[in-house]
Amino acid sequence: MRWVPAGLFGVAAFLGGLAFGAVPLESLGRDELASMTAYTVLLAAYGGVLVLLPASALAWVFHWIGLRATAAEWHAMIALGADRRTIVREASRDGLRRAAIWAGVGAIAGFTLGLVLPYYRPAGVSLGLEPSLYALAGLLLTYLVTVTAAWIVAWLAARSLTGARAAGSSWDDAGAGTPREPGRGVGRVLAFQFVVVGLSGGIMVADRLFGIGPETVYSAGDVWIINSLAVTGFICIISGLALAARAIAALTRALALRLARGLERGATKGGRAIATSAQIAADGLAHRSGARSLAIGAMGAVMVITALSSTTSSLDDARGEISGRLALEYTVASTDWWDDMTAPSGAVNEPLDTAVVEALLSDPRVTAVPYGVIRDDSWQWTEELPDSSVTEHTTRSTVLVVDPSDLEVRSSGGARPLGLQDGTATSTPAALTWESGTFGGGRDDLYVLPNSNTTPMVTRTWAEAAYGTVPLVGVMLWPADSGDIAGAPQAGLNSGVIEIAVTDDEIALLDEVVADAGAAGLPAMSVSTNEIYGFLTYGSAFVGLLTVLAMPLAVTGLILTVTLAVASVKDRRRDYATLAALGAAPRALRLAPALESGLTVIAATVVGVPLGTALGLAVSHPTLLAEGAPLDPVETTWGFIWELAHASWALPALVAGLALLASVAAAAVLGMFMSRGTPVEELRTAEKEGVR
Amino acid sequence: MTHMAVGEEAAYALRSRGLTKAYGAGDAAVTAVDHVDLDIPEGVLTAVMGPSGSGKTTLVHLLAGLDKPDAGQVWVGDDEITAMRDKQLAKVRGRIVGFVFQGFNLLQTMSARDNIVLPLRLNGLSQDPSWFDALVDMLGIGRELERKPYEMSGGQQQRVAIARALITRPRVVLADEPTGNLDTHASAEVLSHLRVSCRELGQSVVMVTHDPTAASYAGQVLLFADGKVAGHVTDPTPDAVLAGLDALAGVER
Repeated sequence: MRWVPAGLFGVAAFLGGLAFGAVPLESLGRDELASMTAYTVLLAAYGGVLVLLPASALAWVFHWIGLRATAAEWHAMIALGADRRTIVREASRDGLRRAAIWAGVGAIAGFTLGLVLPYYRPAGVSLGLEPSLYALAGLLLTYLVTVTAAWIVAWLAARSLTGARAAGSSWDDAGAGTPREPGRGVGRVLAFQFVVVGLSGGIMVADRLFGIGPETVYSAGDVWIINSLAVTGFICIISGLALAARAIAALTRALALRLARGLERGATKGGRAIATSAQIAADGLAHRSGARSLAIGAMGAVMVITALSSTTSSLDDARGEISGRLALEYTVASTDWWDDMTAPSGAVNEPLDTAVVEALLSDPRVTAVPYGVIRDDSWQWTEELPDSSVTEHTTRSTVLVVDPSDLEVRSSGGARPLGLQDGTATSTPAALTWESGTFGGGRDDLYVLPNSNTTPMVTRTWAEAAYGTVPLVGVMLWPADSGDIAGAPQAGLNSGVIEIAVTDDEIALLDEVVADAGAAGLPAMSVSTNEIYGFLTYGSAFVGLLTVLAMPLAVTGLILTVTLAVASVKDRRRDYATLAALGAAPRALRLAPALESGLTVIAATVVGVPLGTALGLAVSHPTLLAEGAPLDPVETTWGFIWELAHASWALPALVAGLALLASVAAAAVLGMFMSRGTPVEELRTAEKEGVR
Repeated sequence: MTHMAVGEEAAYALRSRGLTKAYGAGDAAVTAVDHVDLDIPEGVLTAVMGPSGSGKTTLVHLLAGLDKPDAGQVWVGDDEITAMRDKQLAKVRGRIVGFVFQGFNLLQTMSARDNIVLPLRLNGLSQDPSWFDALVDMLGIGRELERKPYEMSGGQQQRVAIARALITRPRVVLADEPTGNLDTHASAEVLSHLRVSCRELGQSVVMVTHDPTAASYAGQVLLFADGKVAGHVTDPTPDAVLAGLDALAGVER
């Protein structure tokens, strides 16, 4: 058990190594370097919090479980005059030593895999067998931070186990012969958490609904408000997570207990051994020991995280596919709006011949979507190249104006799954430069969907309300038999990267269709075979991390579930021995641990999967939580329904199935071993293991 | 080898022959129970006394079928429990033998009431409300029935543990220091009840105790030393028990 905390830090270091190994920065260009550096910093920051904190919390608990037998010895030594600080120092050194080994192994293994495996490499980055100094520095930082965290955790665990409070209490919430009034302190903490979540959550909801923060920073006061809102959001998330963990554990326990009681009643007629097992399992589930509470909470949390990860990942993939299908690959228009930097801003007022539009729409060889165009003012910007030379660029934003229903010929639901509705605009990350123009930051009534990752489009209703009549000026075309874009979404870190390209054959076909429609002389534009654009579509670094770490999280959760299931059963060793002494049938005693573990996993699945899925739907929703986005009830609900239909249940089902099998098997084996011993032998073992 | 018989005609509730149990191995091995032959007659309250570490607790564990001997045999009535399979042994523990642990071993999640009726639930036996009420009255735990063990004092927990051992009306009750946490008055009540149970219900009780006064309630006292029966006191009084213990101490010296 003492190696488990070190193993957890090894996993954390592995993930850190993987993150830095996957980003060989020196092989990238300057701009890419800037963006990847930002991504790496984000990944490290989010990763540090998301991986290291839970790993530390779990490690602390495993230290507790592992050291509790030793704790009695420590207290005896302290009572005989030993120095508590020396004991704590030695225990923390032991934790440090083990973690130093495992974190080293984990970090190097992760870093190597990140370098070698294409799965974890960003698109367009070649094999990075030569790690950059940045990456090596990141590796070293990962190691140092992880080992330091391990040392602190070991120190805290040893300190708490040698404290005066620990001497008088047992691992169980209820120690024999120590009458006390449980629940008062817990109630106070819970009430405090409710107040904190209520206040901070209320402020965040108000900000979402009414936008209480300033749109633009003009004064120190604005900065203060923005920073306060950020801190409030952080407090809301952290306290909300703590409260959610409690709620998940309580719900899982209540459901598992109900299942066990139900089984006990149902099995009374069928067989007394099963009924007795269910009764013993139910008693165990009602037994609020630390290990059991942790096991139940952890199983629920694993299922929540798995469902959350699976939902965000699958929705990300589904939206990525739609983004790709709706991306402009070929167009014919009345004017070359894509190159024209001199035309006035506003709607392009050069309508395309209606006959051409009709002909293209009715041609069975193509899928066609007509559009209008509105333009922003052009602006200049400079680019500093690696050789210190400076290049001037002129850019202007253009956005296509579409009837959302027209897009349904290309993709079911059109761009609605991406969040396109009146008052929103789809966008590629490059188009976010609109912030400096009028479409984005300049208009309060338009919310740019930052992760829609497709050709910039707005609805005709919104555009005409804002800019007046917008005539049809062009038609987007795709070959009718092109089931999908040329480049398929890739796996791993690149799952959100879409390569868009049309082949020469397809361009030839589309040219022919345009000519047949009588528009051969009109400007046309295509994305050439060699031109690739694509972006990480993750809604945020958080979602990206969940997506990339879906499998590692699932595996870690699985191991955790089984380990805790075993710890939880061991924690009842004394009870099992007592029950054996009172005449419980050996078969019932063998079956009870498996039943307890199995029912807990089932309850954790029933509680965790819906919660995790609901959370995944919320964080993946393109407009629900986005400040400034419209909150139309119909569109928001439609988005949820679409998400629910496209969320994948495969990973949660797999994890639940494996967790059920593994924890039941582990508990059954342990139950078998425990039932082999006599009650006295088991009581003696429980005594040795510090189980009260 | 010690063999104690109490009357040729008596039927025996518990018997052992060559009962041996050792802990550890090699030079560190300690023989807690060393080739003990015992015949405990039915309907008799028997006290086991002896110095700490003499093997008393191990002896009652072996007699109750809670531990396996390294050698020897144990009979409960006519049934040899040392030859039984686990399933049969569980039935003996649940229906024929009642045991009071020194550390009570109450289930912390359960109320006192649930702890008391637990053996009935585990063994599919129906509850006799009048017997339950009689036990509760005798042990004075009526107010504690809905409380959890961690909400009770040590003495209260001990009474609940005694009630749990008696609830199935077992033929044999083995108790490890059953009055260790009780005050004088409560001890006297419990011991009187145990003696009455033996006399009127034919129940046999074997209890480990350090208290000569408690031992004086017994029909016989076994003096145990170094894993062996070193003597016995029939018709014990506190003075007789103390004298026996003194003699035992003299032998040990």
